[in-house]
Amino acid sequence: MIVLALTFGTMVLTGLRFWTGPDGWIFLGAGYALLFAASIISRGKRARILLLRPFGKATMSAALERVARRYIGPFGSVFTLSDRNFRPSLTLDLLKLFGQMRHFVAPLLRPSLRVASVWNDASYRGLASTLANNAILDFKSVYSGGQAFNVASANNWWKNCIDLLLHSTDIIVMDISRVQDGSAWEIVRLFRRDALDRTIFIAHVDHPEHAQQALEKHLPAGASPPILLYDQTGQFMQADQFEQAIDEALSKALSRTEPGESPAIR
Amino acid sequence: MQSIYSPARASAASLLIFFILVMVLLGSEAQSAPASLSTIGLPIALASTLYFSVRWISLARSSHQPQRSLPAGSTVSFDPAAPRGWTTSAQDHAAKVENTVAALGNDELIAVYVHPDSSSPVRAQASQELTSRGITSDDIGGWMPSAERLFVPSALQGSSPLPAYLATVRIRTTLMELARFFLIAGVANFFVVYPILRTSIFRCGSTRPSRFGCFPLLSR
Repeated sequence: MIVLALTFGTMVLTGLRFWTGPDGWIFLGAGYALLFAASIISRGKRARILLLRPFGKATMSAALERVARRYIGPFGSVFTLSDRNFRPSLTLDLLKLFGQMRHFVAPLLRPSLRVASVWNDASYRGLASTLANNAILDFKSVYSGGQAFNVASANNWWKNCIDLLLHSTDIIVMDISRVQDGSAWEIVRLFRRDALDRTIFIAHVDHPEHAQQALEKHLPAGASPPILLYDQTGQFMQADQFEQAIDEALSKALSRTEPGESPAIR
Repeated sequence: MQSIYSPARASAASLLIFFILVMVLLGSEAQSAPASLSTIGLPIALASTLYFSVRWISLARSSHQPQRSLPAGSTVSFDPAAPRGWTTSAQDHAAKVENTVAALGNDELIAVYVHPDSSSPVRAQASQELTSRGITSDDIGGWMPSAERLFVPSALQGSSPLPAYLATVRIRTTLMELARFFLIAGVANFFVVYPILRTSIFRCGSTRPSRFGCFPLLSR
Protein backbone atom coordinates (compact mmCIF):
# COMPACT_ATOMS: atom_id res chain seq x y z
CA MET A 1 0.00 0.00 0.00
CA ILE A 2 2.81 2.38 0.84
CA VAL A 3 4.45 1.70 -2.50
CA LEU A 4 1.18 2.24 -4.35
CA ALA A 5 0.52 5.46 -2.46
CA LEU A 6 4.02 6.70 -3.21
CA THR A 7 3.61 5.84 -6.88
CA PHE A 8 0.27 7.56 -7.17
CA GLY A 9 1.46 10.58 -5.24
CA THR A 10 4.53 10.97 -7.40
CA MET A 11 2.46 10.68 -10.54
CA VAL A 12 0.11 13.40 -9.39
CA LEU A 13 2.88 15.68 -8.18
CA THR A 14 4.81 15.51 -11.40
CA GLY A 15 1.60 16.22 -13.26
CA LEU A 16 2.46 13.48 -15.70
CA ARG A 17 5.07 15.81 -17.08
CA PHE A 18 8.00 13.50 -17.17
CA TRP A 19 5.99 10.36 -17.33
CA THR A 20 5.17 10.08 -20.94
CA GLY A 21 6.34 7.66 -23.56
CA PRO A 22 9.77 6.13 -23.50
CA ASP A 23 10.64 7.79 -20.20
CA GLY A 24 9.10 4.70 -18.66
CA TRP A 25 12.23 2.80 -19.57
CA ILE A 26 14.14 4.95 -17.10
CA PHE A 27 11.91 3.75 -14.29
CA LEU A 28 12.02 0.15 -15.42
CA GLY A 29 15.80 0.34 -15.76
CA ALA A 30 16.15 1.88 -12.32
CA GLY A 31 13.87 -0.81 -10.90
CA TYR A 32 15.99 -3.56 -12.34
CA ALA A 33 19.22 -1.91 -11.25
CA LEU A 34 17.88 -1.92 -7.70
CA LEU A 35 16.83 -5.54 -8.03
CA PHE A 36 20.36 -6.47 -9.11
CA ALA A 37 21.78 -4.47 -6.23
CA ALA A 38 19.47 -6.27 -3.82
CA SER A 39 20.48 -9.64 -5.21
CA ILE A 40 24.22 -9.09 -4.96
CA ILE A 41 24.29 -7.44 -1.58
CA SER A 42 24.21 -10.76 0.24
CA ARG A 43 27.07 -12.09 -1.95
CA GLY A 44 25.39 -15.47 -2.32
CA LYS A 45 25.55 -16.09 1.42
CA ARG A 46 21.88 -16.41 2.21
CA ALA A 47 20.22 -18.99 4.34
CA ARG A 48 18.18 -21.70 2.70
CA ILE A 49 14.82 -22.22 4.34
CA LEU A 50 12.59 -25.24 3.86
CA LEU A 51 8.86 -24.67 4.16
CA LEU A 52 6.96 -27.86 4.93
CA ARG A 53 3.21 -27.48 4.63
CA PRO A 54 -0.03 -29.38 4.25
CA PHE A 55 -1.20 -29.98 0.73
CA GLY A 56 -4.53 -29.49 -0.91
CA LYS A 57 -6.33 -26.69 0.90
CA ALA A 58 -6.43 -23.50 -1.16
CA THR A 59 -7.38 -21.03 1.58
CA MET A 60 -4.67 -22.32 3.87
CA SER A 61 -2.08 -22.13 1.09
CA ALA A 62 -3.08 -18.55 0.33
CA ALA A 63 -2.49 -17.51 3.94
CA LEU A 64 0.77 -19.41 4.00
CA GLU A 65 1.94 -17.68 0.83
CA ARG A 66 1.54 -14.39 2.64
CA VAL A 67 3.41 -15.72 5.63
CA ALA A 68 6.23 -16.94 3.39
CA ARG A 69 6.47 -13.62 1.59
CA ARG A 70 6.21 -11.40 4.65
CA TYR A 71 7.99 -13.25 7.43
CA ILE A 72 10.20 -15.94 5.95
CA GLY A 73 11.28 -14.74 2.50
CA PRO A 74 13.37 -11.77 3.67
CA PHE A 75 15.66 -14.05 5.67
CA GLY A 76 16.63 -16.49 2.97
CA SER A 77 15.68 -18.48 -0.08
CA VAL A 78 12.56 -20.46 0.73
CA PHE A 79 11.80 -23.84 -0.84
CA THR A 80 8.63 -25.85 -0.73
CA LEU A 81 7.16 -28.72 -2.66
CA SER A 82 4.67 -27.80 -5.32
CA ASP A 83 1.01 -28.72 -5.38
CA ARG A 84 -2.04 -27.33 -7.13
CA ASN A 85 -2.17 -24.40 -4.72
CA PHE A 86 1.49 -23.58 -4.79
CA ARG A 87 2.71 -23.50 -8.34
CA PRO A 88 3.97 -21.10 -10.99
CA SER A 89 1.70 -18.13 -11.63
CA LEU A 90 -0.80 -18.56 -14.46
CA THR A 91 -0.91 -14.79 -14.86
CA LEU A 92 2.80 -14.74 -15.53
CA ASP A 93 2.35 -17.47 -18.11
CA LEU A 94 -0.29 -15.43 -19.87
CA LEU A 95 1.98 -12.39 -19.77
CA LYS A 96 4.45 -14.35 -21.86
CA LEU A 97 2.17 -13.50 -24.75
CA PHE A 98 3.30 -9.89 -24.31
CA GLY A 99 6.95 -10.76 -24.57
CA GLN A 100 9.64 -9.58 -22.23
CA MET A 101 7.39 -7.10 -20.46
CA ARG A 102 6.48 -9.92 -18.06
CA HIS A 103 9.90 -9.60 -16.46
CA PHE A 104 8.96 -6.11 -15.30
CA VAL A 105 5.61 -7.23 -13.96
CA ALA A 106 6.83 -10.39 -12.22
CA PRO A 107 8.44 -8.63 -9.23
CA LEU A 108 5.11 -6.91 -8.65
CA LEU A 109 3.09 -10.13 -8.81
CA ARG A 110 5.52 -11.95 -6.51
CA PRO A 111 4.98 -15.37 -8.09
CA SER A 112 6.27 -18.66 -6.80
CA LEU A 113 8.95 -19.74 -9.26
CA ARG A 114 9.55 -23.38 -10.05
CA VAL A 115 13.22 -24.10 -9.55
CA ALA A 116 13.19 -27.82 -10.24
CA SER A 117 11.02 -30.73 -11.28
CA VAL A 118 12.07 -34.10 -9.97
CA TRP A 119 10.90 -37.27 -11.64
CA ASN A 120 14.05 -39.37 -11.94
CA ASP A 121 17.60 -39.70 -10.73
CA ALA A 122 19.05 -37.11 -13.09
CA SER A 123 16.46 -34.46 -12.28
CA TYR A 124 16.99 -35.20 -8.59
CA ARG A 125 20.64 -34.33 -8.96
CA GLY A 126 19.47 -31.32 -10.95
CA LEU A 127 17.67 -30.14 -7.82
CA ALA A 128 20.91 -30.44 -5.86
CA SER A 129 22.73 -28.44 -8.54
CA THR A 130 20.05 -25.79 -8.38
CA LEU A 131 20.41 -25.51 -4.61
CA ALA A 132 24.14 -25.01 -4.99
CA ASN A 133 23.67 -22.06 -7.35
CA ASN A 134 23.43 -19.35 -4.75
CA ALA A 135 23.84 -16.33 -7.01
CA ILE A 136 21.05 -17.45 -9.35
CA LEU A 137 18.79 -18.22 -6.40
CA ASP A 138 19.49 -14.79 -4.95
CA PHE A 139 18.36 -13.06 -8.09
CA LYS A 140 15.35 -15.30 -8.53
CA SER A 141 14.41 -14.52 -4.96
CA VAL A 142 14.33 -10.77 -5.54
CA TYR A 143 12.67 -11.32 -8.92
CA SER A 144 9.83 -13.15 -7.19
CA GLY A 145 9.63 -10.63 -4.36
CA GLY A 146 10.85 -13.09 -1.75
CA GLN A 147 8.15 -15.64 -2.48
CA ALA A 148 8.94 -19.30 -1.83
CA PHE A 149 10.32 -21.34 -4.71
CA ASN A 150 8.39 -24.45 -5.55
CA VAL A 151 9.80 -27.85 -6.43
CA ALA A 152 7.62 -30.22 -8.39
CA SER A 153 8.17 -33.90 -7.78
CA ALA A 154 6.76 -37.20 -8.90
CA ASN A 155 4.92 -39.21 -6.24
CA ASN A 156 7.76 -41.64 -5.76
CA TRP A 157 10.35 -38.89 -5.42
CA TRP A 158 8.87 -36.42 -2.98
CA LYS A 159 10.36 -38.10 0.08
CA ASN A 160 13.80 -38.01 -1.49
CA CYS A 161 13.30 -34.32 -2.25
CA ILE A 162 12.35 -33.63 1.36
CA ASP A 163 15.38 -35.58 2.54
CA LEU A 164 17.70 -33.61 0.31
CA LEU A 165 16.13 -30.32 1.36
CA LEU A 166 16.29 -31.30 5.04
CA HIS A 167 20.03 -31.74 4.75
CA SER A 168 20.62 -28.76 2.55
CA THR A 169 18.64 -26.04 4.31
CA ASP A 170 19.62 -24.04 7.36
CA ILE A 171 16.17 -23.41 8.80
CA ILE A 172 12.95 -25.40 8.53
CA VAL A 173 9.51 -23.89 8.97
CA MET A 174 6.73 -26.45 9.21
CA ASP A 175 3.02 -25.73 9.02
CA ILE A 176 1.15 -28.35 11.01
CA SER A 177 -2.35 -26.98 10.63
CA ARG A 178 -3.50 -30.16 8.92
CA VAL A 179 -1.32 -33.17 9.55
CA GLN A 180 -2.04 -36.13 7.33
CA ASP A 181 0.16 -39.03 6.28
CA GLY A 182 2.71 -36.90 4.42
CA SER A 183 3.11 -34.32 7.15
CA ALA A 184 3.27 -37.08 9.79
CA TRP A 185 6.15 -38.68 7.89
CA GLU A 186 7.87 -35.30 7.75
CA ILE A 187 7.54 -34.72 11.50
CA VAL A 188 9.02 -38.13 12.24
CA ARG A 189 11.76 -37.45 9.72
CA LEU A 190 12.60 -34.15 11.40
CA PHE A 191 12.99 -35.97 14.70
CA ARG A 192 15.06 -38.81 13.28
CA ARG A 193 17.35 -36.42 11.43
CA ASP A 194 17.88 -34.31 14.54
CA ALA A 195 16.44 -31.34 12.74
CA LEU A 196 13.98 -30.28 15.43
CA ASP A 197 16.39 -27.73 16.87
CA ARG A 198 16.34 -25.77 13.63
CA THR A 199 12.62 -26.19 13.00
CA ILE A 200 9.93 -23.61 13.69
CA PHE A 201 6.43 -25.03 13.91
CA ILE A 202 3.58 -22.82 12.79
CA ALA A 203 -0.16 -23.38 12.40
CA HIS A 204 -3.27 -21.59 11.22
CA VAL A 205 -5.09 -19.88 14.05
CA ASP A 206 -8.15 -22.08 13.45
CA HIS A 207 -6.28 -25.32 14.11
CA PRO A 208 -4.11 -24.97 17.22
CA GLU A 209 -5.51 -28.08 18.93
CA HIS A 210 -5.00 -30.27 15.89
CA ALA A 211 -1.44 -29.02 15.57
CA GLN A 212 -0.69 -29.67 19.22
CA GLN A 213 -2.18 -33.15 19.05
CA ALA A 214 -0.17 -33.96 15.93
CA LEU A 215 3.08 -33.05 17.65
CA GLU A 216 2.16 -35.04 20.74
CA LYS A 217 1.25 -38.02 18.59
CA HIS A 218 4.33 -38.10 16.39
CA LEU A 219 7.05 -36.82 18.69
CA PRO A 220 8.24 -38.54 21.86
CA ALA A 221 7.00 -37.19 25.16
CA GLY A 222 8.92 -34.16 26.27
CA ALA A 223 9.84 -33.06 22.79
CA SER A 224 7.07 -30.56 22.36
CA PRO A 225 8.28 -27.43 20.61
CA PRO A 226 6.17 -24.24 20.65
CA ILE A 227 3.67 -23.61 17.86
CA LEU A 228 3.28 -20.10 16.50
CA LEU A 229 -0.12 -19.18 15.07
CA TYR A 230 -0.93 -17.08 12.01
CA ASP A 231 -4.28 -15.84 10.75
CA GLN A 232 -5.89 -15.84 7.31
CA THR A 233 -4.25 -12.54 6.39
CA GLY A 234 -0.83 -14.05 6.96
CA GLN A 235 -0.16 -12.15 10.18
CA PHE A 236 1.35 -13.91 13.16
CA MET A 237 -0.52 -13.64 16.42
CA GLN A 238 2.86 -13.40 18.11
CA ALA A 239 4.96 -11.75 15.41
CA ASP A 240 7.75 -10.86 17.82
CA GLN A 241 8.01 -14.48 18.90
CA PHE A 242 8.32 -15.63 15.32
CA GLU A 243 11.02 -13.06 14.63
CA GLN A 244 12.82 -14.18 17.75
CA ALA A 245 12.57 -17.80 16.64
CA ILE A 246 13.96 -16.93 13.21
CA ASP A 247 16.79 -14.95 14.83
CA GLU A 248 17.66 -17.90 17.03
CA ALA A 249 17.55 -20.35 14.12
CA LEU A 250 19.72 -18.03 12.04
CA SER A 251 22.14 -17.61 14.87
CA LYS A 252 22.47 -21.39 15.20
CA ALA A 253 22.88 -21.78 11.45
CA LEU A 254 25.60 -19.15 11.33
CA SER A 255 27.48 -20.72 14.21
CA ARG A 256 27.16 -24.18 12.62
CA THR A 257 28.84 -23.08 9.45
CA GLU A 258 32.14 -21.71 10.48
CA PRO A 259 34.65 -21.89 7.62
CA GLY A 260 35.90 -25.41 7.14
CA GLU A 261 33.06 -26.99 9.03
CA SER A 262 30.51 -29.03 7.19
CA PRO A 263 26.90 -29.37 8.25
CA ALA A 264 26.24 -32.58 10.08
CA ILE A 265 24.63 -35.42 8.20
CA ARG A 266 23.40 -38.45 9.96
CA MET B 1 4.41 -37.17 -22.74
CA GLN B 2 7.90 -35.88 -23.18
CA SER B 3 8.65 -38.17 -26.06
CA ILE B 4 5.59 -37.03 -27.99
CA TYR B 5 5.69 -33.32 -27.29
CA SER B 6 8.66 -31.10 -27.41
CA PRO B 7 8.60 -27.33 -27.16
CA ALA B 8 10.11 -27.01 -30.63
CA ARG B 9 7.57 -29.37 -32.15
CA ALA B 10 4.68 -27.74 -30.35
CA SER B 11 5.73 -24.24 -31.35
CA ALA B 12 6.20 -25.39 -34.96
CA ALA B 13 2.70 -26.86 -34.90
CA SER B 14 1.39 -23.68 -33.34
CA LEU B 15 3.00 -21.62 -36.08
CA LEU B 16 1.65 -23.93 -38.76
CA ILE B 17 -1.87 -23.66 -37.41
CA PHE B 18 -1.50 -19.92 -37.18
CA PHE B 19 -0.32 -19.82 -40.79
CA ILE B 20 -3.35 -21.87 -41.85
CA LEU B 21 -5.59 -19.49 -39.91
CA VAL B 22 -4.11 -16.48 -41.68
CA MET B 23 -4.47 -18.19 -45.06
CA VAL B 24 -8.10 -19.03 -44.34
CA LEU B 25 -8.79 -15.47 -43.31
CA LEU B 26 -7.07 -14.06 -46.37
CA GLY B 27 -8.83 -16.55 -48.62
CA SER B 28 -12.18 -15.74 -47.09
CA GLU B 29 -11.51 -12.04 -47.47
CA ALA B 30 -10.66 -12.41 -51.13
CA GLN B 31 -13.71 -14.63 -51.65
CA SER B 32 -11.47 -17.14 -53.32
CA ALA B 33 -12.36 -19.85 -50.84
CA PRO B 34 -15.72 -21.56 -50.44
CA ALA B 35 -17.83 -20.24 -47.59
CA SER B 36 -17.72 -23.56 -45.71
CA LEU B 37 -13.96 -23.26 -45.40
CA SER B 38 -14.19 -20.10 -43.38
CA THR B 39 -17.18 -21.17 -41.30
CA ILE B 40 -15.78 -24.59 -40.42
CA GLY B 41 -12.07 -24.03 -40.77
CA LEU B 42 -11.97 -20.81 -38.82
CA PRO B 43 -13.29 -22.21 -35.51
CA ILE B 44 -11.09 -25.29 -35.86
CA ALA B 45 -8.06 -23.18 -36.62
CA LEU B 46 -8.84 -20.84 -33.74
CA ALA B 47 -9.34 -23.69 -31.30
CA SER B 48 -6.18 -25.42 -32.48
CA THR B 49 -4.15 -22.26 -32.20
CA LEU B 50 -5.44 -21.68 -28.71
CA TYR B 51 -4.75 -25.28 -27.73
CA PHE B 52 -1.24 -25.36 -29.11
CA SER B 53 -0.42 -21.96 -27.69
CA VAL B 54 -1.43 -23.04 -24.20
CA ARG B 55 0.37 -26.32 -24.71
CA TRP B 56 3.46 -24.50 -25.88
CA ILE B 57 3.41 -22.19 -22.89
CA SER B 58 3.15 -25.06 -20.44
CA LEU B 59 5.89 -26.98 -22.23
CA ALA B 60 8.13 -23.96 -22.39
CA ARG B 61 7.62 -23.61 -18.68
CA SER B 62 8.34 -27.23 -17.90
CA SER B 63 11.35 -27.27 -20.22
CA HIS B 64 12.81 -24.35 -18.32
CA GLN B 65 14.45 -26.70 -15.94
CA PRO B 66 18.04 -26.57 -14.82
CA GLN B 67 20.16 -28.19 -17.47
CA ARG B 68 23.06 -28.67 -15.15
CA SER B 69 22.18 -32.20 -14.19
CA LEU B 70 24.97 -34.62 -14.67
CA PRO B 71 25.13 -36.89 -17.68
CA ALA B 72 23.93 -40.46 -17.29
CA GLY B 73 26.53 -42.78 -15.87
CA SER B 74 28.40 -40.09 -14.03
CA THR B 75 28.46 -40.02 -10.28
CA VAL B 76 27.98 -37.60 -7.48
CA SER B 77 29.61 -37.96 -4.15
CA PHE B 78 30.04 -35.86 -1.09
CA ASP B 79 33.51 -34.56 -0.62
CA PRO B 80 34.09 -31.97 2.09
CA ALA B 81 37.35 -30.91 0.52
CA ALA B 82 35.73 -29.72 -2.67
CA PRO B 83 34.11 -26.30 -2.61
CA ARG B 84 30.79 -27.45 -3.98
CA GLY B 85 30.97 -31.02 -2.87
CA TRP B 86 30.73 -32.46 -6.33
CA THR B 87 32.69 -34.65 -8.60
CA THR B 88 31.38 -35.37 -12.01
CA SER B 89 33.78 -37.66 -13.77
CA ALA B 90 34.00 -41.37 -13.32
CA GLN B 91 37.79 -41.18 -13.35
CA ASP B 92 37.87 -38.79 -10.43
CA HIS B 93 35.42 -40.76 -8.42
CA ALA B 94 37.75 -43.25 -6.81
CA ALA B 95 40.15 -40.48 -5.83
CA LYS B 96 37.31 -38.49 -4.35
CA VAL B 97 36.10 -41.46 -2.37
CA GLU B 98 39.62 -41.94 -1.08
CA ASN B 99 39.81 -38.28 -0.09
CA THR B 100 36.47 -38.49 1.61
CA VAL B 101 37.46 -41.56 3.54
CA ALA B 102 40.75 -39.94 4.53
CA ALA B 103 39.03 -36.75 5.61
CA LEU B 104 36.23 -38.29 7.58
CA GLY B 105 37.72 -41.49 8.89
CA ASN B 106 35.97 -44.82 8.97
CA ASP B 107 33.82 -43.96 11.94
CA GLU B 108 32.38 -40.86 10.46
CA LEU B 109 31.89 -42.08 6.94
CA ILE B 110 28.21 -42.77 6.87
CA ALA B 111 27.19 -42.57 3.28
CA VAL B 112 28.64 -42.82 -0.14
CA TYR B 113 26.52 -42.26 -3.13
CA VAL B 114 27.28 -43.81 -6.46
CA HIS B 115 25.17 -44.52 -9.45
CA PRO B 116 22.16 -46.58 -8.35
CA ASP B 117 22.84 -49.19 -11.02
CA SER B 118 24.60 -52.00 -9.16
CA SER B 119 26.28 -53.14 -12.37
CA SER B 120 27.87 -49.74 -12.87
CA PRO B 121 31.67 -50.03 -13.24
CA VAL B 122 31.99 -46.82 -11.25
CA ARG B 123 30.22 -48.41 -8.34
CA ALA B 124 32.45 -51.47 -8.58
CA GLN B 125 35.48 -49.20 -8.60
CA ALA B 126 34.30 -47.28 -5.57
CA SER B 127 33.41 -50.49 -3.79
CA GLN B 128 36.87 -51.87 -4.45
CA GLU B 129 38.43 -48.70 -3.16
CA LEU B 130 36.47 -48.82 0.06
CA THR B 131 37.09 -52.53 0.57
CA SER B 132 40.81 -51.99 0.17
CA ARG B 133 40.60 -49.54 3.05
CA GLY B 134 38.78 -52.04 5.21
CA ILE B 135 35.40 -50.41 4.89
CA THR B 136 32.50 -52.67 4.21
CA SER B 137 28.96 -51.94 3.25
CA ASP B 138 27.96 -52.38 6.88
CA ASP B 139 30.20 -49.51 7.88
CA ILE B 140 28.59 -47.11 5.53
CA GLY B 141 25.05 -48.28 5.98
CA GLY B 142 24.85 -49.75 2.53
CA TRP B 143 24.76 -48.16 -0.84
CA MET B 144 22.21 -45.45 -1.14
CA PRO B 145 19.73 -46.45 -3.80
CA SER B 146 18.93 -43.02 -5.08
CA ALA B 147 21.18 -40.43 -3.61
CA GLU B 148 19.15 -40.22 -0.43
CA ARG B 149 22.12 -38.78 1.40
CA LEU B 150 22.93 -36.23 -1.24
CA PHE B 151 23.09 -32.74 0.16
CA VAL B 152 24.39 -29.31 -0.66
CA PRO B 153 26.65 -27.57 1.86
CA SER B 154 25.22 -24.48 3.50
CA ALA B 155 25.61 -21.20 1.70
CA LEU B 156 26.26 -19.47 5.00
CA GLN B 157 29.87 -20.59 5.27
CA GLY B 158 32.04 -17.62 6.07
CA SER B 159 29.06 -15.30 6.59
CA SER B 160 28.96 -12.42 8.97
CA PRO B 161 27.52 -12.82 12.48
CA LEU B 162 23.80 -12.39 13.09
CA PRO B 163 23.64 -8.57 13.47
CA ALA B 164 25.49 -8.06 10.19
CA TYR B 165 23.33 -10.67 8.50
CA LEU B 166 20.16 -8.97 9.70
CA ALA B 167 21.49 -5.60 8.52
CA THR B 168 22.00 -7.12 5.08
CA VAL B 169 18.44 -8.43 5.19
CA ARG B 170 17.12 -4.96 5.99
CA ILE B 171 19.10 -3.28 3.21
CA ARG B 172 18.02 -5.95 0.77
CA THR B 173 14.36 -5.55 1.69
CA THR B 174 14.57 -1.77 1.32
CA LEU B 175 16.19 -2.07 -2.10
CA MET B 176 13.50 -4.51 -3.18
CA GLU B 177 10.76 -2.13 -2.08
CA LEU B 178 12.39 0.73 -3.97
CA ALA B 179 12.73 -1.49 -7.02
CA ARG B 180 9.02 -2.31 -6.81
CA PHE B 181 8.23 1.38 -6.66
CA PHE B 182 10.19 2.10 -9.84
CA LEU B 183 8.78 -0.92 -11.62
CA ILE B 184 5.22 0.11 -10.77
CA ALA B 185 5.98 3.58 -12.07
CA GLY B 186 7.44 2.20 -15.30
CA VAL B 187 4.66 -0.30 -15.92
CA ALA B 188 2.02 2.32 -15.10
CA ASN B 189 3.68 4.64 -17.57
CA PHE B 190 3.59 2.12 -20.37
CA PHE B 191 0.17 0.64 -19.80
CA VAL B 192 -1.84 3.49 -18.29
CA VAL B 193 -0.36 6.95 -18.62
CA TYR B 194 1.07 6.72 -22.09
CA PRO B 195 -2.04 5.20 -23.73
CA ILE B 196 -4.28 7.79 -22.07
CA LEU B 197 -2.15 10.69 -23.23
CA ARG B 198 -2.09 9.25 -26.70
CA THR B 199 -5.85 9.13 -27.05
CA SER B 200 -7.48 11.69 -29.30
CA ILE B 201 -9.25 13.65 -26.55
CA PHE B 202 -5.89 14.82 -25.27
CA ARG B 203 -4.70 15.81 -28.69
CA CYS B 204 -7.45 18.39 -29.12
CA GLY B 205 -7.86 17.76 -32.80
CA SER B 206 -4.21 17.99 -33.64
CA THR B 207 -3.27 15.89 -36.62
CA ARG B 208 0.19 15.24 -35.23
CA PRO B 209 0.60 13.18 -32.08
CA SER B 210 1.64 15.54 -29.34
CA ARG B 211 3.96 14.51 -26.54
CA PHE B 212 2.00 16.42 -23.96
CA GLY B 213 -1.43 16.39 -25.56
CA CYS B 214 -3.37 19.62 -25.30
CA PHE B 215 -2.16 20.77 -21.93
CA PRO B 216 -0.45 24.09 -22.66
CA LEU B 217 1.06 24.22 -19.21
CA LEU B 218 2.76 20.92 -19.78
CA SER B 219 4.21 21.94 -23.12
CA ARG B 220 7.55 23.55 -23.03
